[in-house]
Amino acid sequence: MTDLSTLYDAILSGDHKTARSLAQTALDENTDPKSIVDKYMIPAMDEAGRRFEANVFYVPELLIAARAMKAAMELIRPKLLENHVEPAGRVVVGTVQGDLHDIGKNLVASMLEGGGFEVIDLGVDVSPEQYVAAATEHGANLIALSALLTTTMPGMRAVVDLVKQSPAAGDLKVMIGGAPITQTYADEIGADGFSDNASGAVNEARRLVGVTAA
Amino acid sequence: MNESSISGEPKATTPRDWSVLHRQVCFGESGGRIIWQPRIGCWYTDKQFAGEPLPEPYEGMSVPEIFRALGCSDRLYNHYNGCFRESEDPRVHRTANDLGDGRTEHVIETPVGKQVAITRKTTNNWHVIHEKREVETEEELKVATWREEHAHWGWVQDCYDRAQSEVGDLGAPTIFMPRMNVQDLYISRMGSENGIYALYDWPQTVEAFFRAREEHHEQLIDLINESPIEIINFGENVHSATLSPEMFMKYHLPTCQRRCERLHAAGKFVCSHWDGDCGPILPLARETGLDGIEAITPRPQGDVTLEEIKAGLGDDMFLLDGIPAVYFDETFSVETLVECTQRIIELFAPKLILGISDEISSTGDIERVRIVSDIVEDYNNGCSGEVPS
Repeated sequence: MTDLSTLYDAILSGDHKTARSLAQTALDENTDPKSIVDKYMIPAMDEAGRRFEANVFYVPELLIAARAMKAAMELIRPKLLENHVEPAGRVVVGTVQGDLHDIGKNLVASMLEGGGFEVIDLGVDVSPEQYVAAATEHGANLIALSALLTTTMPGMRAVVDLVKQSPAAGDLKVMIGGAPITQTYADEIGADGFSDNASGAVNEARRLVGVTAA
Repeated sequence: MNESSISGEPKATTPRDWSVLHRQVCFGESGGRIIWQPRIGCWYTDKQFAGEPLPEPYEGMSVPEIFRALGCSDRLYNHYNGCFRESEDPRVHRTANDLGDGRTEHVIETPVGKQVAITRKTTNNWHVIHEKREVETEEELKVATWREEHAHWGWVQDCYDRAQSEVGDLGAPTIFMPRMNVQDLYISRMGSENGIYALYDWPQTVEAFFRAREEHHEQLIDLINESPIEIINFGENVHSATLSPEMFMKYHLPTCQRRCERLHAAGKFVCSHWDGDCGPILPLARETGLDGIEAITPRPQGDVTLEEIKAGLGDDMFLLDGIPAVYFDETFSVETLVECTQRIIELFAPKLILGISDEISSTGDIERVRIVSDIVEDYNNGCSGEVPS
C-alpha cells in the first residue's frame, strides 16, 4: 500500500503532479476515498492555512498547495459521490456586484474546497439575486461574499437583506471578507460571519455550518 | 481645525507654483517644509463614469482646476508618463476584433508566434475584465520576451512641453517607470494566479522574460537620465501577500537596487509604489536603494502602524502618502483624519510628501482634502528653515 503521508507532503509543498498521481494510486489500491480526504488532504490544507496565518506561507505557497489539493480531488470527488459522501457544507462564493477583484475570492474558494466544502463559484460582479438563486438551486447552507472596494461594500448589505427575505432565511448563512471589511462592518450589516484572510475563512465557515476540523 | 471647514465656503487659495516646493522637498532644500499631494483621479473618473455631478464648487472643473481650488499639489504622472514612448518592433502587428457584448479579442502577431487576449467591458467603471490574458501559456511568455528584446524607447518633447504649459505649476515633473519582473508578470501579463503558477512551473522561461525586461528598462533609464524629469517612481503596486519576502529578495530587490544605482548616478529622486500589505517586507525597505516609498497604507486599512512604517523607513527614507483613504469617507470622523495627519507629520517631516494611501475613493468627501491642505499650510508656515532662492 502507498504511504499516503507522501500525499500530505505533496499537497503541502504544492506538487500537483505528485499529488494527483498518489491519489490515483491510492484509489487503484481501493483505499477508502473519504479516508484519503479526511486523513491526508484536509489536514494538509489545514496545515497550509496555519502556516499562512503564521506568515510562513504567503499567497503563492497557499495557491500552489490548493492547486495540488484540487488535482487530487478531481480524481477523488467522483468516488465520493458514488459513495454518497456529503461535503462539510455547500458554499456559494463570489465577488459582489460592481467589483472585479477575484484573487481573494479565488483563494477563499480554494481553501474552502481544501477544507472539505463543495464550492459554487459565481465569479465576480455578482448581483444579490444571483447569490440567492444559486444558493437555492444548489441547496447551499452558506454564501461567502468578497469585496475589495469601499464603493462596492454596500452590495454586501443588499445580499444579507435579500437572504433575510428569502425562504432559506435562518438556515442560509452569509459570511463576508475583503480588504476594507471589518468585524464592525459585518455586525453593522447583519452578516453571520467575517474573516480577514482565506485560512480564517475556512474556520469561520466550519463554525457557521457546525462542523469541526478533520 | 474644526468640522465647519467641511461645509463652509472654500477658502480662497492663492495661485502658486507647487513645482518649486515639490522639488525642494524631494532634494532636502525645503527648509523643513512638506508638500501635500492627494490623488483624486479615482474620485473624479468614477463620478464621470456614473454620470454623477461633482459637488459644488467643482462641477465643470478639470482635474488641474480642482487641485488649484483645493490648494494642493498634484503628482503629475499622468501628464509626464507620455514623455517616454515605447515602440514595438515593426514586425509586431496588433489587431482588435469586436466579439459583441462588449467583448474584444486582441491579437498580437510577431515573427516568433502570437498572443491573444480577450477583454470585456463592464457596466461599473472604465476598467475591463480580462477573460483571457495575453500570456497564459509558456509559448505566449516566450513571445512576450521577444517583444521586450525588440522594443525601444524614445523621448517625446511635445508631451513634456504640453505638460509644462498645462500643469507645470502643480508639481515637479514626475513619471512612473513600468513595473519590474514579478509585479509585471502578475499585473500586466498573466494575472496574479497564473503568474504564481508560471513562477513554479516554468521558472527558466519566466527568468528569461525578467532578464529581457530589465535590459529593456536599462534603455529607458539611459533616456530618463538625459531628461529634465527628476522624480522617478517605480509603479510596482507591491503587495507582500503575493510578493512574499522570498520572492522579494530573489527577484524584486536586486533589480530595484540596480535601477536605483543607475538613476542616482544622474541625481534622480527614486521611489516605489507599495500600495498593498507590506508588513513582511517593510524591514527590507532600506536595502532597496530607494529614496522613498509611496502609498504604504497604515492600519486600519493596511497591515502596518505608522510607527512600524517609521521603523521600516528610518530617518533617511521618505514616506509618500500615508493617510488611509478610508479616513476621507464619512465612516470615520474628521477628528480621526486630523489626528492621523498630525501624527504622520510628527513622525516623518521633513522626509514627507503627504498624500492619500492610495487614493480618495468616489465615496470620499473631497472637502476633507481641503482640511489637510490647511493643516499642511499651518505646518509649513511654522517652519523657520530658510528656503534657498
